Amino acid sequence: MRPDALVATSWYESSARERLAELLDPGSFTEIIPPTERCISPHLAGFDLPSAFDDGIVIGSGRLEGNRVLVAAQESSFLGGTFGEVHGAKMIGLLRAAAGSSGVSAVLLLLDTGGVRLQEANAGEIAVGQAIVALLEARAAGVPVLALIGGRAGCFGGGGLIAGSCSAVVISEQGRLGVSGPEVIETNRGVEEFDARDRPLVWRITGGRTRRLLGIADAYVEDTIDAFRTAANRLLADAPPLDLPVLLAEHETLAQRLAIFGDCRDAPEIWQLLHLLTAVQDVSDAAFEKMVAGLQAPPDGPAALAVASQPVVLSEMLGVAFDWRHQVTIDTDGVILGNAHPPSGVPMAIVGLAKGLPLGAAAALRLSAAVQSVMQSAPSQPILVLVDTEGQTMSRGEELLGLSQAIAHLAKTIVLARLSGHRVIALLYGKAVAAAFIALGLVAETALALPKADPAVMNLAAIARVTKLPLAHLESMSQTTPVFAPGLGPMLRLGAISEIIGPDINLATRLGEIFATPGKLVANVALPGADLARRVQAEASRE
Amino acid sequence: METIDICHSGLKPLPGRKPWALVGVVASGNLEVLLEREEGDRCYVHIETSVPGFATVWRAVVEDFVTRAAPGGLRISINDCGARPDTVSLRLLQGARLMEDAP
Repeated sequence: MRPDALVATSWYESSARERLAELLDPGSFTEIIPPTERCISPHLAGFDLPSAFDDGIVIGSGRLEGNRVLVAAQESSFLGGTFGEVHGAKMIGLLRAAAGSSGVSAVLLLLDTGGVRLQEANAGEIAVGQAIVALLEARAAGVPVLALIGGRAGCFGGGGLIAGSCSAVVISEQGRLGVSGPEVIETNRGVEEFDARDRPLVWRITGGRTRRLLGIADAYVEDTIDAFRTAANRLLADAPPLDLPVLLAEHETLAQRLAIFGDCRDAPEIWQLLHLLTAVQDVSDAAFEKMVAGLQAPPDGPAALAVASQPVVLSEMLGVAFDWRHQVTIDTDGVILGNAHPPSGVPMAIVGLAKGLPLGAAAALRLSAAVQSVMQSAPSQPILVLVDTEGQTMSRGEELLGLSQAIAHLAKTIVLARLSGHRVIALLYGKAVAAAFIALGLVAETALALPKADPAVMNLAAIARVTKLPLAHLESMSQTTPVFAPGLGPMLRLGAISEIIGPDINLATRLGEIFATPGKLVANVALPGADLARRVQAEASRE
Repeated sequence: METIDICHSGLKPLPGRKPWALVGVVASGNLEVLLEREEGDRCYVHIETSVPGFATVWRAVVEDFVTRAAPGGLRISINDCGARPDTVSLRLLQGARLMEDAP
């Protein structure tokens, strides 16, 4: 018994290792790839940064109330708990083991992350996509995956998409969840849009109570490891499966939320619509839980307005030959919907985002609905995802309503389509950035690209600003190390893009060949960290 | 980054049987210390630090630790992110104490 057993341990104040030690049954944790293996990032030394022996994530197996669980805990003190090559591979291998081995009753992800690690941005971005696919495969195999969020870094960027892909989310008041962090929004849109130094505002927009009120988190707990364990056990008892009916119901919930709260810019406007008379931040944890339990249904929102759309000719939009008959439209948000008919064989569904426009919740839901409708009406129909987007919408209102969940919903839909037998392939033909790149491109079976495509996690100038390294140094490093340099070449070398379709090739003909080829287009692409992920999977599958 | 290697020999073995321990995290003003048991009477310390130019201070802190803890048969690996000498000293002693626990 700990000497301070009467004092509950704070989740927020604890390290990743401390959280695991107290969350799991005493003495039950076995670490996989422990620090003695010195499995460190191969990329940080090039930036003159110290490494950590576990690369900021502790993974392994243990027991929760006697049941065997796999766990991953991010350490936000080390580079903000960010996803790099090694960090990501450890989480991916663990999730793959959950899908493939019997005797695992659940996976717990103790997320505490700012998102992708800029020094190895491409590797991190690819890893988030792979982790989402592996997570959903585990869920589809009947293993629930929980996100526990209450640490210093919160859960942002790709971490927000991973949380949104989980069976359920547990959050504390200190926990924050979103896709673009306040600083990123302020840098891109200005202090008028989001003042990142206004701490109460940051918590009202991204904090645990707002997340629970809107149903983005499934349980709200006080800031103790005990409370997280109790909630995890409760949620595991009836975690939702991953199937089409569950996704259709989630779509309905998200669409309703957007209709009711779509104009809100700050939490008090939501409280008012929910008929809450007391300021939510002023009540105790216990009183807040009562408040959530007694929530009245808000009034129905207005029906979604029709969005104007117009037909496009693919060869004109893409700038390459495309000789199949097709009906494709683009709406004012840049959402592409339609289909194309090869001379023989089944038609191909087409969805996507055009004109470099950002991905907001409304567009993400329209794209999800289109894919879900293909899944209902045309089993095994191939799906082509066209990608030209500057990334997720950066706005306070979108973050308030849980943009991470809407984009995760899209990623879930695409992965479930794949798991249900649809071939889903992305074609990058313009910009492909950040969370939108993950949800549209990196969770597909593979991505193809036209020569003009320009995928990026962040441009070099912004990386220079965040990492405080001279731009000239980064430019010279980008010649030799593809893990952080933006552009088509590095993504091709890392295996995130399998093929560049040149100007002398008829795109439709090539797509026809690809969709006619059974199995995977890229059987043996060595994505960053692939060997390590395989090793983790093998070790976690034992027992 | 600067690398420093320090070795003391002829030390009494550190009590306990725990094979390894990790204390601290790599964060600004902090460090992580990995202690591993090995054969012999040496205490070998390998330091990687983001703040170059303090080898003399590192040697003094390690020497002080060696006299206080008698850490024979230990290999210590440090990832440092600018921790102050008192923090380093505290982490080393904390680590040695953890190694004395049951495995």
